[in-house]
Amino acid sequence: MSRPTASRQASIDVLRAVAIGLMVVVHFVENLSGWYDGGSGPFEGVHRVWWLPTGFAAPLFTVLSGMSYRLWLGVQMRRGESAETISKRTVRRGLFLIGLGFAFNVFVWLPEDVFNWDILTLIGLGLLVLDVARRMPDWVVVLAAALVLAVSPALRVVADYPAFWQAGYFDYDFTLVDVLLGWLAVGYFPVFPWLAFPLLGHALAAWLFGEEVDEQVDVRGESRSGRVAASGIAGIATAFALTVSWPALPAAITGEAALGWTMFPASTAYCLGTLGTVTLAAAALHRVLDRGGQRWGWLLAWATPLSRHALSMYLLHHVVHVWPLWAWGVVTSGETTALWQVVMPPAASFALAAGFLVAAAWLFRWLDQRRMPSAESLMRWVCD
Amino acid sequence: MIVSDNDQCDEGRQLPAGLPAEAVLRRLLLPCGEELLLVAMPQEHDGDGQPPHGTPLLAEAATAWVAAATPAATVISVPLYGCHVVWAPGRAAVIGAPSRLEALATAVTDFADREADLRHLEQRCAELLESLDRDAPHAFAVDERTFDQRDALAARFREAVAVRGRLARAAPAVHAPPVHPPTLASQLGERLRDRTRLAERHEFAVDRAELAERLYEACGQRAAEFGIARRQQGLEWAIVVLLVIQTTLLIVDLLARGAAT
Repeated sequence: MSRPTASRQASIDVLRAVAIGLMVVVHFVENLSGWYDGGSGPFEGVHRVWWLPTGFAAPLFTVLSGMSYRLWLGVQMRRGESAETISKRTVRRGLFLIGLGFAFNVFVWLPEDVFNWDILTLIGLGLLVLDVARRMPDWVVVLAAALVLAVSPALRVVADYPAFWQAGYFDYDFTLVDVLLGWLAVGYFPVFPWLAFPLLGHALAAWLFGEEVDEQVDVRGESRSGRVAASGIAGIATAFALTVSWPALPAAITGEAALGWTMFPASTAYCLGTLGTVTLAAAALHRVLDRGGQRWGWLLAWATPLSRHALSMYLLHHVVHVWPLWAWGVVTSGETTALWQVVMPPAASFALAAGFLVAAAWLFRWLDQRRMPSAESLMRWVCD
Repeated sequence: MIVSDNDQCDEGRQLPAGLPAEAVLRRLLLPCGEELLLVAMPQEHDGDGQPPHGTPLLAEAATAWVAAATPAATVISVPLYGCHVVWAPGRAAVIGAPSRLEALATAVTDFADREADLRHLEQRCAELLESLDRDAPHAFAVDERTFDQRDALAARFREAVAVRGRLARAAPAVHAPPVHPPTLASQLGERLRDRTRLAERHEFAVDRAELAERLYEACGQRAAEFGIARRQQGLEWAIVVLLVIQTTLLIVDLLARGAAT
């Protein structure tokens, strides 16, 4: 059961609520309307200006998973939990999310997509890796993330990334090789490069909040947030330079599977740009919200329930718009996916997404007030 | 030992009630930094060299005045060869023949400086001992959280060394052998040292400072070892990460070849 705490890092709550908002909008519009700016295709091209922010939802979630883990770790250590207990809880939570991810793929995306390697399986794996990374010095964690980012384009070339993607979707065979390659390099959210996000989030939390924080608001980080913001700007600038200079680079470097700014595959420019933006946003919000956050009470009143129930939101928003879509397709044409991406215009799906967000925020506030169970409380009950 | 320049030696202040008009009140700043209010009360002896009958009354008044400054402290009262000296931290009174007053005042001031210095050192030792129990486990093992406290531990080590240094410098004066032939001033100093147990207090303070120094020296060694080990461990982790990345590259290459065939 969710237990409201008096003091949370407000910046993380707001960032996670923003990620949820972006995620809900992109999924509603993608699945109900399939509108991605004309003919440039759903997952390619740099011209989807209107949709560009939607590419930030997954990086936000994954970076925040690393940051939240670091803060959770601090709380556990201050409570005097042993390293073994912390490891057990971490591994259980990771396995819980991986199992939930597979179940989600089966029940929402239908059994043929069980190994599409979505965000839940990535965050679950990220927790398992973070249980090892927490024993490393931070500079090694950053080095590991940098290496993951650096070798990912090469892995995609070696694995022949384009061969796994048909019409903008990950299309694999039920073979061990395809499943493993999907997990490592060519799925929706493969280990390479997406593991870099929780790893860097883990290091970022220590850098931004300091070692001695948990939910308590840190008041010592004036200079730290400035340096973190500067590193975020550097990441954005590098991404911009990579994107602009991309056509001029030799073909041997650019390769077929590593495009200028793409989410699928997550190109180096995309990774650096989104990481820089998330870092900059975290530093700015930390400075604004985590000190003197009383002025932003109205914002936190809505953001906190969404943030606290991010996992429930992820599951719920898929269920409320995908299951009716499948059911209505079966009823009208006998084919489950008959209405996918064509059931309504983008404006209508966008309005539905906005309505869902408001309703969900109200619902989770109501659940919190009555201390009702949710997916998060189930995870804690099973794993802690 | 007396600081006697005009800025720091304030003679002729208004006398406290109950003391004779001939008395002189001086405010002295001791080298250790503490202030001493000293009253010198001249008193002519009788023709047979005995102290006059009014001396006990004067001593009583002096004791009351000295005790009023520091009620919690023990007031030391030393009658000596027709003179009378009363001392407590911060205040002292000397009663005697005018010819002896300056020697008595010098001896009292000298003693007061040593005692104040030792008292400050004892206070610093007590503060070190307060953190001793909390820090004792760090002398055996250091973890990440302890390592983050290394600056505080190093500061306490420096404090312990500084206290020991000051105690070592104070030792010759505290443990000085009796002067031969004895003088009035030297005998007064010896009696004041005995009555305030200066030598024993100094030894106890040395023991406590040694204990703190040993503890924080061990803490420093453990922290240094931990820091070195952590740097080495970081390099080992970096090698492990590189090996994992290399292995992943090999696995993907093998899988891709398998898929191609």
